Amino acid sequence: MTEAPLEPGEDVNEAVRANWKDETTPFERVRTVMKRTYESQSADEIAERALTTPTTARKHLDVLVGDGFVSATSEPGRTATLYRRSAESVVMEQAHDILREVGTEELASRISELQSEIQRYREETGVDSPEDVALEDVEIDRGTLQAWQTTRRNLDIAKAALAIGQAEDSVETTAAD
Amino acid sequence: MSDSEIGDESHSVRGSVDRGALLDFREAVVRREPLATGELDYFLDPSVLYIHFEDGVSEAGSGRLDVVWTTQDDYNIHYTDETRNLRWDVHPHEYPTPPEDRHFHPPPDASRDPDLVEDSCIEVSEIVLVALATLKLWRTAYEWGSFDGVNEIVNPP
Repeated sequence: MTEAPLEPGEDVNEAVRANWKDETTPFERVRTVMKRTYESQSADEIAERALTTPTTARKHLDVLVGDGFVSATSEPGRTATLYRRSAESVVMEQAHDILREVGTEELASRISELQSEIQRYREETGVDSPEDVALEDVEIDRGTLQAWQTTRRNLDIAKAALAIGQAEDSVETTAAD
Repeated sequence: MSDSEIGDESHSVRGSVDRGALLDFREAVVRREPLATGELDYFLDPSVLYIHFEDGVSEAGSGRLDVVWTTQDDYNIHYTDETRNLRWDVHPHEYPTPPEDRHFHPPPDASRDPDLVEDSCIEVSEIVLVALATLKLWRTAYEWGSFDGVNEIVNPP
């Protein structure tokens, strides 16, 4: 499939929304929207983003909550249920993406590289974590701070992937006993 | 980020680079565009997604998108080839216009001149839709043989 160029006068935003709606079901759109929704939103907000009705969105959100893909919370003072991607589900998704490409042995050595990188940030700044940078008023440029936060997040995910990979190997081995 | 053309401006995006978002962006583009392939700069801890186009706009032999997307949905989408650079961004900025976070750095050099930075034509914000919009704009430039006017979507030359 090749993307068609815009016709004269055609709006790119309307064009891609129309394509998306034509090629997906409401359930697929709700799932896609929720995949990177890390801060809680109402079903109404999610429905608008997923180009569907609140009733339909709510029905599919309930399914996604049942699957563990989405977490539902009710906050005090707000009557509506709020939804966000479950953190566990993000970790599992990324861990399995990593394990498809990298074996556990190689992963272990890549993890120690990432740990050395974190150690370098600590030595350069004299503080333990990105949060301490603000608390201790450390001079650091935003790009470095962002890279540190990113590496820490990815290191934690890589460690989870390694643990999952090893546990899966172990379960398979004992099953064969 | 050393290979990237994004430069200092990447410092203005908020949040961690979102590996999952980069993979979603790649999936949306390569599924639809036979001329495109995508790779992370570093598999486990990426700072940027490279989308390579094996044919180029007009005289350019190829082209590349450098995509940075964060957990707070800020982004840089930087197009580069032999003769031009341009970039669609979402992040807080100090340019007098546009008032919103989304803005466009026009070709030929992805200018940061406050008089030249303009409104971005990409108004959608879901990752998949931004990826499809970027691809559609690239396809349009590919067919036209030019990026001139591509951000001014309503009245192509």
